[in-house]
Amino acid sequence: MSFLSPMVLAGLAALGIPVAIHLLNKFRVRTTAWGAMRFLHEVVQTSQRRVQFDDLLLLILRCLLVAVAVCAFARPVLKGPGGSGSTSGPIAAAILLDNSASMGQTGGALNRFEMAKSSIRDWLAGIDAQSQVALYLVSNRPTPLVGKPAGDFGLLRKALDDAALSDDGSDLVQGVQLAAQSLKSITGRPKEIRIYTDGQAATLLHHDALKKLALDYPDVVIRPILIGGKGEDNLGIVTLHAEDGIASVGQPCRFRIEVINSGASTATELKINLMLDGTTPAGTATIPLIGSGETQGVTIPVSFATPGPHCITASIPLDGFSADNQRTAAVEVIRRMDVVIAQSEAGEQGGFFISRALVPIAPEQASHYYLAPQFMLPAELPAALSLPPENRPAVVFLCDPGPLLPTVTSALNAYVKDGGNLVIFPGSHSDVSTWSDDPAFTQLLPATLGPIIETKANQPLTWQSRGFSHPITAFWNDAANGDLATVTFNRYFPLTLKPGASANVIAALSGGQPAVVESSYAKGTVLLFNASCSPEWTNLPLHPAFVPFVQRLMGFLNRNSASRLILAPGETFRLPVAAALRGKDFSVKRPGNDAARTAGQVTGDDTGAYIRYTATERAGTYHITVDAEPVASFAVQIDASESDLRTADASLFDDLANVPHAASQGPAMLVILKEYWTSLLGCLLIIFVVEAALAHRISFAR
Amino acid sequence: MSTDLLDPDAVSKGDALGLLARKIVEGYRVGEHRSPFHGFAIEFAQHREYTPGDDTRHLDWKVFGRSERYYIRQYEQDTNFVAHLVVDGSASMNYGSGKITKLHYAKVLAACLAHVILTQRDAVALALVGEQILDYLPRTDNPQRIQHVMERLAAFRGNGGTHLGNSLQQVAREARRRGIVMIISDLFDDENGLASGLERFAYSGNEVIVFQTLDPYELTFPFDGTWEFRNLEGNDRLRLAPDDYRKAYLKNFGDFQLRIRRMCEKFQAHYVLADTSKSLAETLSAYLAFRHRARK
Repeated sequence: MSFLSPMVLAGLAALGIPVAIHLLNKFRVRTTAWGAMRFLHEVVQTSQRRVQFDDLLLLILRCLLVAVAVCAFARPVLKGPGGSGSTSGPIAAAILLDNSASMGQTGGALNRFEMAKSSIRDWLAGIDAQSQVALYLVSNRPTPLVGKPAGDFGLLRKALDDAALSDDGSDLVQGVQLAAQSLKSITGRPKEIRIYTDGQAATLLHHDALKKLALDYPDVVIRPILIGGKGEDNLGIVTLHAEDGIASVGQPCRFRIEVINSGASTATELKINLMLDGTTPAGTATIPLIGSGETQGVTIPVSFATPGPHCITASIPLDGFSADNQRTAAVEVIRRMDVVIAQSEAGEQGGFFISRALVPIAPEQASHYYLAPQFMLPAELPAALSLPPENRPAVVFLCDPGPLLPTVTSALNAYVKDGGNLVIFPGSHSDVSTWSDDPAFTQLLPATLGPIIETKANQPLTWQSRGFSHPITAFWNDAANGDLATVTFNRYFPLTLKPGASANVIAALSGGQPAVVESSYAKGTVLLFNASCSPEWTNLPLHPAFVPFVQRLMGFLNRNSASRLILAPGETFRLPVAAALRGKDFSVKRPGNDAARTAGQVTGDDTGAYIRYTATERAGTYHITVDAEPVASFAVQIDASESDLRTADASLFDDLANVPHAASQGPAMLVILKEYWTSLLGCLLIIFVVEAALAHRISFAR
Repeated sequence: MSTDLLDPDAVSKGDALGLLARKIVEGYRVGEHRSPFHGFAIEFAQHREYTPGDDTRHLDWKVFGRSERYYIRQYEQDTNFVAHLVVDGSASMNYGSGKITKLHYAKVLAACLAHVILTQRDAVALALVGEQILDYLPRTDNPQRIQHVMERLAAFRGNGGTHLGNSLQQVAREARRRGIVMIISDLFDDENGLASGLERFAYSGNEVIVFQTLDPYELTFPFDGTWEFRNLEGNDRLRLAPDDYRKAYLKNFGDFQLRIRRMCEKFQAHYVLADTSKSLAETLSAYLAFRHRARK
């Protein structure tokens, strides 16, 4: 406690005034002879104690009146370390307004986002006019609205009014970091970051990073303001994708829909509707029961009549958080998919088995099938892979390719880098020892290959039996689908995963060594087998699981491509297109818009022409056209974690707010936290009224 | 006529007191020839024949019984009566907020009453009392003796305590003949003693008039600031802020006055408040007017 005008405290000497008056009255005595003494004696005997008490009380009250008045005019204040969050006196603050999708939940007239805006307006109305305030919208993509703390509250309110809810996910780390940096240059006043959020659990997913930020900026108080109490009960669609990976004309494609129940009660008989291209009913399904906190899914098959871009929309009945009651996926429906099987002339006949597995139908019907394998020599690959993206093969199978020329490996490297898929079956004619000498090819490989190991005839090696974690082989975790442990090897290349590489093991040998490895390389995917696809090496091509294995492998590879049609909010959409379109305007029909609008030009680089579109902040389907012809569709889906509206543990927020600050600040950083003069004036008034009433009562009584 | 006439020096000298009383009384009695005390100590004079209009109360029925004629009894109206003037000289009577004290006022009042009574050839006895009778002047109906009364009054100095009850008992023993007893005192005394005194006078057939002589400060207690009150009848002192006790004092004093009035009513004594801030003529006229009404 200190005083802004300590000199006024000298006025406490005025305490002597009531005392002096009191004493003066006591000691300035006049004397008189008196005859009616007995009446005075009687009165004094009965009233003296009360009179003395009343006098003392009045004296105390009058002294108190003077003391409180003097103290009030001396302006007592509570000072403390800067950033303690007081709204008294000018402060520097950065407001972080959570505009993630979950802020759209509503239990009444206003959603959390509007409630937060209202709360911010109230706070702005109450702070010192000399304060400086910045405003950020925070989600997993923070947006500065007023990037530097400014005193122009009008601008701030305008920015607040214009602020809109997004479909982004929740993450505070970047926003807090930006806000802390914006406050860094400000000194001499309390600094705080005010986070207006619904407190969804996902908000504090990176609590440790937030805590570290709080410690890194000890002069800044992080003050979470939780809006709306606990989260609303919610049912939300968290997953919608084509389970088979490849959507082709006339072939049923299964779509997987998963729904989360983040409410406290069990949901029953939840009906899910599927719409094709927003207008055509494509199927329905009902989930009989979803327990609290559980996620349940259904699969609905959908057939496409025409090739090209399509969108699928799944919806459930609306609830308090409508953003996740509908979810959209985009698929590129193909009429056929080109696959190249490259093997040397002397190579083993693995390509034959693969082609059969790719087209598991009668040869006379093969021309109608959507997969169209094409054989060629490895030397022919550079030419095939240099075609425009729409004419390039979707997958290249490299079966016992023999010696690979640098031109081939370079072409393969560029192909995969640009999104191509490469499946490698090394064989007897593959001099794998030289592969490591070719940097372009080595970069592609998720593992290194050792010399061929022959297994003993009576002790063949097998694949693992259960415990598959990869999407391709997880299907065989269910014994009803067969047993991959019956896949045996006569010989194999021992695979060693590259250190630090993010390779996934699709299948391993019974001894635990990797047998099939997959990893991403740039935009593409590479799969490496440990053996040739021929009966001399393994019984895999003859195994009953081989056809479904290859089909699932194709679905997986295509799903990687298809996944590029489903984006997170704010993610850039990039689509290779025909070179002829280069330089032309493309239009985009955005979610909620009735018509397409010109959004940019088809650009290009060394890899070819492509469409690049960045304004993907809204969830829904985007349709891209060039010269009024549909070129592509893609979907933006909100982060699945936004559907779980359960709030984070309050102690985590307290943990952020209670990071020690005082130790980092010297005395010079002490700022006014609270002024008491108004309170004292109130006390003064009360004491005055009490004194006046008491004096009146006493004078009336006497 | 105001209290300005009551010069303290004049009151202390017999001649001056006599002149003062005469002036006051004559100023009041201009045009008044009948005694307000008439018809009290009466004696039969003669009969005369009744004529219509006479008061039938005075018919002499014995004469009517003997002669069957109506005669009215006539009385000697200038018969003397004795007025006992009792003046309290206790120390408390020495209080005066202005130039004169209650004792001064009482002395002038007694002088005026003595003057009125003696000039009507009635008798006056004077008792100056404190804790007992301090000075007693036996009854006299000689107007020439008025100067003597005035000198005794002027020479009287109030002092010491008071025991009015005891003093009244002594006066009662001196007053063997029925008459009027006029008590001039502030009555700051034992109320039971006073009551017994009044009771004795009442039972012996005397008419009692109580002039309670009080200073206006005693009636209103108008002090402010801090005062030290020194007891006139003792050595004790009291220091206080009168503001703090005024209301309680006035209530206490008012209750005392009320008790005195009720005591007077009980013993058929006439109570007159002699406020020393008011003129004696005012006090006298109020009382004498009452006497006239009572006589009619």
